[in-house]
Amino acid sequence: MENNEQYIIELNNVCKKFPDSDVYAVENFNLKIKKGEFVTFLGPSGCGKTTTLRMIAGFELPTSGTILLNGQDISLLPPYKRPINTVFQRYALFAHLNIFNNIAFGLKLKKIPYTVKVVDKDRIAQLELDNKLDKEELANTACSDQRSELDEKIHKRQEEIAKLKANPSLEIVKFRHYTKKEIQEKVKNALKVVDLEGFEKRDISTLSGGQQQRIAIARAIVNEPEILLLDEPLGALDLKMRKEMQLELKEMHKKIGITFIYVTHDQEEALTMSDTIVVMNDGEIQQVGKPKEIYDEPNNAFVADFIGESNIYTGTMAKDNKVRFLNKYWDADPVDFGKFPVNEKVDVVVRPEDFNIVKAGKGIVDGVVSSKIFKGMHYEYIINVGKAEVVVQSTAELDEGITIGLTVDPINIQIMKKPFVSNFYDGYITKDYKVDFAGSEFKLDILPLFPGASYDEEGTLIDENKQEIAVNNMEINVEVPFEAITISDDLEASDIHGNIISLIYIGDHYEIIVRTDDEEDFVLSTPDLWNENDRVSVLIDTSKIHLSRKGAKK
Amino acid sequence: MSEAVIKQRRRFNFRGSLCMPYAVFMALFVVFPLVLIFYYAFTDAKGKFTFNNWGTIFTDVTNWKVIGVTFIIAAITTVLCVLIAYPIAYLLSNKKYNSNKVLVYIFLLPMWINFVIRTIGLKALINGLTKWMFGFDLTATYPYVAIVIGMVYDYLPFAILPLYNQMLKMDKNQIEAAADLGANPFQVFTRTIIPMTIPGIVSACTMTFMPTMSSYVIANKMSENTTKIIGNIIEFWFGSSSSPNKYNVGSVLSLVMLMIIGISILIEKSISSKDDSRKVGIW
Repeated sequence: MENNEQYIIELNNVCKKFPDSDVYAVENFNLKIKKGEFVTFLGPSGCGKTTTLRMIAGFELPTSGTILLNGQDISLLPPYKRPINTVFQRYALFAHLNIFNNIAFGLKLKKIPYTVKVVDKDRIAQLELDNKLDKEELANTACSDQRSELDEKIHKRQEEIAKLKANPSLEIVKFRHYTKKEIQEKVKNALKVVDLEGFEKRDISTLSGGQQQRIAIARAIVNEPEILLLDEPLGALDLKMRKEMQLELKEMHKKIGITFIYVTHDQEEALTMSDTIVVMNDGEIQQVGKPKEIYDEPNNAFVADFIGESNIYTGTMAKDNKVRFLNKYWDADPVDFGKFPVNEKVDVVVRPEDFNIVKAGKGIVDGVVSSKIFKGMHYEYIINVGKAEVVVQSTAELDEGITIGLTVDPINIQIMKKPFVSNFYDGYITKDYKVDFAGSEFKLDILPLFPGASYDEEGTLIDENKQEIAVNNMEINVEVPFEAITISDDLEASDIHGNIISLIYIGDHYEIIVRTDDEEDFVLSTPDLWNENDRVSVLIDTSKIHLSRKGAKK
Repeated sequence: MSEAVIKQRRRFNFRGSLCMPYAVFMALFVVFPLVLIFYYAFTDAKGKFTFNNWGTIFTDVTNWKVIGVTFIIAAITTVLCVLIAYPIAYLLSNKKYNSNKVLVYIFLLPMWINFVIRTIGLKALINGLTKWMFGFDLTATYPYVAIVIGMVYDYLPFAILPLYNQMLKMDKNQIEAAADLGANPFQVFTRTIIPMTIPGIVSACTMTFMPTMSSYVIANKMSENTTKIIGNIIEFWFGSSSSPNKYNVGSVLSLVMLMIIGISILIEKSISSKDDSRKVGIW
């Protein structure tokens, strides 16, 4: 019980499925929020963050799971019975009311309990009845002892009755509305908090967007809710106003001390304002943590990609605590030692500011500076390493076209488990629209990568506006499912040859890793038994290969 | 631009000239008849100025009664129409019940049928019902009730349409915000939904009040020609009357009706003008 009390709101296995949809909008959502925290739900649009917020507010009911407020189940309570208020994205101010009445809307409806002392009528009635009976007995009694005893009793009761009548002692709870004066006082204070004093009489339509949003906030906080929900409240404001309001909201949170749950798709906003960030995607929580934790130690490639800028590569764990990506072996972060078996495919994330630029040949990998953008505090370079691109931020000024070396502190290499049923490769599109990955060229249909694109008569890839799409050397993600790969001992069967370096028996099949001479790995499953170090050719069923554009998640 | 060009443009304003057909139409069919009515109302058959026509109408007590009855019937019909149309419009505007808008057409379909035929059909139906249940014809026994039923039936679509349009534009966020701030469903209704639909209510009132004031065919059909409303008297004066001043007296009645409707609209407008920003529909 004690544990429960420190959390103001708890969501347990909350799922939501809309009746006209097959997929869950929110799936197995588990979260506990402490009193006074500033929590942000962050994710791309359609990730279920607003749906979760609406379930907390009571506008949507969870399909399954429970929502506890201070330990009590409120999952099915209608919104007007919840001590929670919402600031809506589009303000939702009442256009037919002026500012004072907008803010006072909730106060006028609210009933507040108070205790009054009243005369205990039941007790008096009881005493009077007793007296009446005793008086009757008195009239029928002759014995003087008994008479005086009765007399005394009656007298005592009469004294008690008089006392009860004079001093109301019974406490009862009554409900009342706020008085006009109280409402005026509270509205005035709320306007003070949002910095719009003296605006009471004005009409909503005379306000700017930022002012309207402040009124919406005032309208919510004036009710002193236990939790304030904010649904992308700054989405409709311009950039400068948004930055100002971010700081003001943070200030307000400190000042009034209630729990804030904030929904946004803007990662910068989330990092600036929150105590805790909940990163969501496809209705599921990806990571919960403090802003710094989420930025420095992303759980998976999605979080790394969504929060801040990242270089994400598919890597392979190697011996001696090294990880291989960009075709080189890098020293891995000591905390990742032993977490992943050798040869496991992993996601490797390196933030652009974590690359160190050194002289060519002195780094782990060499690259050519292909573009340079001045960003105020630093330069942002795109470095071509082989066919891969590395985004690097540095304060040093470099010229385009020169070759440099790159190193990374092991601690800045984030290694993450790959959700894994496929081989992932960094590929690129060649001049004649073939796809090059794992050291070979494949003829694959790249049209699905470009919505609205088609080939013209000359076989050039064009977009909807008949403009040629420059795809040469464009980087793409190539996903080759295990079942798309077969191996053969006939070395004439394909151009890709490699040695079996690992053979693991998993229940009813073997998981085999084939490493080519270029150190590219193919993972496949097969019911047949092979031997380690067998030389094989790799056959790929191209119809099962899935291509996607890099960075398309954003 | 040189001054000459500006002058030339001023002389011939092409866009302005597009208004000409409408101006001619308005002058011919709105302004001229009104002037004519005014002229007739204050002259006698020989064209001499007089107030006698007004005397003819207002010295006759039955005319006062007819004007009063007409007003009451129109007011009751308007109130009933809005009361019935409001929930219907609310359901129609809700996507849950009316996802493909077919229901809207079903409610508006009666308007496609000639309203005299509709009225005669309704009369047969309710007379049949009351005969079977109570043993009398409603139109003969309670003509006023029958007239109101007929008018409500005929003018209901005119009340549904503006309310439905207004409700489609309702800001659902404001309804949610009210619930969020502690309003129970009844309070949500009285404090946000009603205020948001006031322009629609005003339009619906106007759309039903005006035709019920002036229509007399429904009254004739639904009361077996026993009950007269203002339209009947106007028709009498312009039609079958043998008085030499018949157009003049009829014009006075037309003016009286015009004033009643005009005043009613002014009152309605003053109610809705509190929020100019969300005016909608016909007014």
